[in-house]
Amino acid sequence: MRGLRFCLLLAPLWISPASAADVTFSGTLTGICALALSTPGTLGLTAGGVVSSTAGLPAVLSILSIGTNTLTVNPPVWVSTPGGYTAGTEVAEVAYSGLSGLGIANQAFTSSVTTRSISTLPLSLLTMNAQISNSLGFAAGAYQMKVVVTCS
Amino acid sequence: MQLRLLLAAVLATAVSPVLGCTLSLGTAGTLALSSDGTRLESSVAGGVAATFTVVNLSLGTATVTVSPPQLVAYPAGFGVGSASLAVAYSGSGVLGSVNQGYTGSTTQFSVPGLLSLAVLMNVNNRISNTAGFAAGTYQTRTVVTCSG
Repeated sequence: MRGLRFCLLLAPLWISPASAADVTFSGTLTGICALALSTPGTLGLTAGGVVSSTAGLPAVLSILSIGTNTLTVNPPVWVSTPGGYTAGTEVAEVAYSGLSGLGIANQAFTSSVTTRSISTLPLSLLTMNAQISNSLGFAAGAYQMKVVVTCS
Repeated sequence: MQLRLLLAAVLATAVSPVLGCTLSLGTAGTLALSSDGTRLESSVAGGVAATFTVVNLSLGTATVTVSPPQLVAYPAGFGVGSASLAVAYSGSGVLGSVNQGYTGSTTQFSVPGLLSLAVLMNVNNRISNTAGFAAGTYQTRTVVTCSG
């Protein structure tokens, strides 16, 4: 009986209690909209005599949005034209379409400023075409145009 | 003799919690957004891993069990249904071989007995959501237990 009592009394020494811990993580995101140019476009001369990225390659823009933001796309403007270029009646137009989860409606060529409301988006891509027509045609040389896109 | 037995019992009861496996929280982790906006994670730029220490002063090997993280808090606009959570951890010192990549399952590792020094463990949490993350505060919790 004494031996049994000894064993029972020592038993707690060999029992290791369980220990638990809650490891916590936290992070706060504020509303942002980030734009980056993934691929610049290239221009070519269309069969109709328009300097357009449809005759070259479209530009690709990446967009990341947290919260609701407004995307504003302006028509293109010239950055540089060759010395022999004379501006007549010009029509500058932009078109875009969403890729990779960017669920905004496609925009056909327009010379107006367009806006789109976008909600939370992971990194998504927007392909963009730009073109300018000129009633006086185009001189030989290098042309560069830009489309200003804002997100806020 | 009865007095000696009683003294042994009192000592055993008092000492046994100290001789077990204990976990101590170090720092809490910080979640940051991945560059593609699909993950809120402590192991990307801007994030910070959480730490805890484990001490096993028992005679035998102890087992540490790491549960998959739970989403404790998130903003109203977040699509929790499409989110998945994962935990990763790594050890140092005598537990340097413990290195668990991100998993959504419960995992375990062994801690040798009579380990006199506290071993620091780094823990990372990750929330993945292909639909992105709404603005607001997110909080995850990983429950770690040690027994043996």
